[in-house]
Amino acid sequence: MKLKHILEVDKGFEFLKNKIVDKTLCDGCGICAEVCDRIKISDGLPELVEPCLLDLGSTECGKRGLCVDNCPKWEERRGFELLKETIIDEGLCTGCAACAAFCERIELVDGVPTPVKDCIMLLDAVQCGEYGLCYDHCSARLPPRDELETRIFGCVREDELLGVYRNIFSAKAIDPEILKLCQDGGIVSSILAYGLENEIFEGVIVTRGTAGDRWKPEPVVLVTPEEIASAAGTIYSVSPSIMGLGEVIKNTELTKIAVVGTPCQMKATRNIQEHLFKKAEDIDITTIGVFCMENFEYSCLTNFIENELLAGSGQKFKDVTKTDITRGKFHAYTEKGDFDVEIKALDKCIKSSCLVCTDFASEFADVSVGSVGSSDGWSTVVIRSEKGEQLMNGMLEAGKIEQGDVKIDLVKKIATMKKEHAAKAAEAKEGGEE
Amino acid sequence: MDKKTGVYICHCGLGGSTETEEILKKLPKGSIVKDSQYLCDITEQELLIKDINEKDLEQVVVACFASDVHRSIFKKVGDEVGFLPNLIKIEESDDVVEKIIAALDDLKPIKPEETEVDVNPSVLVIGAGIVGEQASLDIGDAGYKVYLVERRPNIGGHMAQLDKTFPTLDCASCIGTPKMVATGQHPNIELLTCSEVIEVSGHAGEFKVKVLRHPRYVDENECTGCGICVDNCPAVVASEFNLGVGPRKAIYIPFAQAIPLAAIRDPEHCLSCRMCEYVCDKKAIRFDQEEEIIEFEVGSILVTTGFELFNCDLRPELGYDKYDRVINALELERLCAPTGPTAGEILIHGKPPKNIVFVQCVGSRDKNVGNEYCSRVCCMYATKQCNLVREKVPDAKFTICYTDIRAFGKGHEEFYNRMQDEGVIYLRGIVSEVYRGENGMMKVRVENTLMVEPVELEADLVVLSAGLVAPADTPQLANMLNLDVGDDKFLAEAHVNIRPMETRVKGIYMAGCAQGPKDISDSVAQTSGAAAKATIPISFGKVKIGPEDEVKVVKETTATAAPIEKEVTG
Repeated sequence: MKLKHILEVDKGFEFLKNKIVDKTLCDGCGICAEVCDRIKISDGLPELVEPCLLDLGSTECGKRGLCVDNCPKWEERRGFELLKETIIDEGLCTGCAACAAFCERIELVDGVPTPVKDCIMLLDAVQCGEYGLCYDHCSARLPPRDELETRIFGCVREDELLGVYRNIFSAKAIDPEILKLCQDGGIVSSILAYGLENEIFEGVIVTRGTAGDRWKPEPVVLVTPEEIASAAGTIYSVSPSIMGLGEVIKNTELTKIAVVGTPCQMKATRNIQEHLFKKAEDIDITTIGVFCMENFEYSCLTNFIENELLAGSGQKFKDVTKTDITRGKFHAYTEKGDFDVEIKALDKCIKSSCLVCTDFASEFADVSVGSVGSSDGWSTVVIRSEKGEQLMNGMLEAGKIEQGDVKIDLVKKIATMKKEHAAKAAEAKEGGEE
Repeated sequence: MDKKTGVYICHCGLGGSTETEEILKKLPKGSIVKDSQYLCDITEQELLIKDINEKDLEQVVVACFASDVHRSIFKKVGDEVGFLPNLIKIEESDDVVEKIIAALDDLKPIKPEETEVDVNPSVLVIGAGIVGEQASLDIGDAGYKVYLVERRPNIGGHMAQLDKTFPTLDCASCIGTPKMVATGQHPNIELLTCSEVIEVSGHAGEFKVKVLRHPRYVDENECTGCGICVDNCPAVVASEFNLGVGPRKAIYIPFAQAIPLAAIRDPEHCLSCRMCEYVCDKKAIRFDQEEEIIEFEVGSILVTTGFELFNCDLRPELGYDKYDRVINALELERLCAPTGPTAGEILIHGKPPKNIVFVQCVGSRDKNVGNEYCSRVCCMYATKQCNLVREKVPDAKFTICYTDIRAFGKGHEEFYNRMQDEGVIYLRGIVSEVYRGENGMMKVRVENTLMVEPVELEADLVVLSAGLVAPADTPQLANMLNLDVGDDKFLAEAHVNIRPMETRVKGIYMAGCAQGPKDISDSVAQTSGAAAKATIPISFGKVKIGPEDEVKVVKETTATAAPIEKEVTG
């Protein structure tokens, strides 16, 4: 069957406007105005000052009109090709698996999204999501920040460094069982346990070590408070968390879900909410983000810990009971003692997408949690959305956590550091390209 | 040749007389050769029986004009003498003597070996367009069970895609939907959509049928057709129902009034994001559905497989493949239909067309594409479409480039005259080329055969009046059912005049465009007739069958009586 495009305007300025300008993809570069004197840039956006030749009945103006053909933003290859070219090949993939979570044609192979079946856009599909569901969901892509913040928080940020927030404080879990196993103040574990106990969540998606390897992260879905302890503590490797979200949506009846993850995974979740769940209103996701300076490739990290950090001690990564990053050092705790190293030594293992990431404090989560800004054994809590506020207030009232003072300047300092690093990396990358 | 033979040459269709001596020379002593006038007449047959008994004839040859129709007429002879005459078909161009002599070498005795069998009181109807629906309703109303098998996810066929019907300009949905609904709800009709008949064996009265049911991935009984799954599906592809003029999702309901009203998932384009499953309140989505084979027995089979539209790409000079402004008539029908992708607004690149040229006989009456026949509907549907477009674009101009206008049905000539009076220009001439002019509009090059001058017309929309062709897999269907395929590639009837709904196989009937192009009125008339035919053995309860009535299961590759290879390559 032959697809006829007779119904939609498929070329000329009208097309440029529909597909690029109205979709806020235009950055006002002005190339369209350079190739066509009927277009002028006004207020940073192209505008037609005389009728488009193609509207006048002309047939010849490049392929889709010179303005479209020359537009750097016009991407003809949508779907997985687009994802591969603009995200994966550019080293921007965070390995969150948002692309694979809802498309059976993509699987993560060694952490890299790989097509296992032909993308439908390469078949004869007209559209898949907006640019391809995988690309729409990708954590490396976000709508303009103001738009996203207005959508999820109802306002835009006043604090450039921390993002939109309603409250920020230091906190610590009350439950001694949680405190025994947790990373810092046991806040994330407490939130999850509280949510499951009170049926605010029916299931929570967290990262846990695989059965064979305590430090190899995999997403799991927990549905009872008792299971929470099994996933307590931080694993400093990239996890395909969003795959877990996909599993819950696809294979369970659960509708009230909490997702715990890094800033990039929060972004992916927001993208999925915007695109896939737009009409499935009963899917209620609470996002709990963790502070994140950077994350490490699993195989590189394993290699480093076993062959450098633990070298000579006769121990393996699996003998490590806890890992931590505090005060510029990476710590691996084992029964034979604490091994640490300057965090700089791990630079080679940093996931490339982290280098350009500007989000330290999980700026798009409902609640963000991290150690920076709090004393040992305490966590910093940033309440961002109304949903997050209700949740945390409920916990305070129920006496699940205690509150303390936060050193907000410290959080801001680290956030600034991350943003500056990213700016430098972006500059270096651009410079390298030229 | 040692048997005493009687040769009778029936002259009602041939005229003249035969040099009987030539034939007699080839025959053993005691044989006779006679000219005859009306062998189908009962008195002549009594003379034949008398000859056989008196002269101890051991075999009889009857040469006549319509041998295939007359086999049953000699039943009385078989009953009396214990064998049947061998019939030899003679045509006017044949050398009668030569043909009979040639046939004499290869005579085999035909014994009247008929047995009487019980008839299963049910009918298989293959294809659920308007023709299959009407037949099923008639048979169902007669009180018999109908298995209605349809390959597509919904019934209604091509008629469901039409905006209006000629010559009365009835809304196709308004007259078609009640039939679809009645078919879907009829207690005697078992509807099998997404299904194909894959094997038939047995004989009239008792055909064993195997149907392959493809997965719909949606529970038809649970699905309410609410469409929430469709809303939530991210993958968009071109809609088959709208002929690619509009979009559909990877899970979709082909059109609003579809029967059965249930979604279907297209696994080829599905991402398995499972949002459909998630949002479905009825939990009707079945990702694990697999294809199944359903077996049943029926007494009669009715083939109503309809037609396909001619592929306009086979006339490359008309630019269908190249230009957006060249479309086929069914695509225009979807654009006009209020249920279509534009809700009835006719827009070509965002603007209503003002200057429309119809090109007639695209794929019909054209030996170059292998279709010598007239498709019988295009003159009238083009005339109708002028009316449809005019209703929405009052100032549009229409030119119909025709070979001959064929307006032979009831009310057709009147409708044609009316549209002429209303300003539709009928230009007699065959279009040789469609190309794009400098201003972006289409140019249609045509020779006006009445004025004998070449003309060049400008158009912002060119509509190709594509003809009707047999479905591409007709040879396979014919092969499976042991039927014949005609030179026109449609199924061949037993006799075009007097047995137009019967096939060469007893108990298998056909109606509608499966037999050849016809319009809706003719199709519906024929199908009610075929339905009556199919129920005759059932209402009688018994049917007589001979060895030649058996349908053998044929594998894809084996050749059958029908010359199928020729059809496939043509």
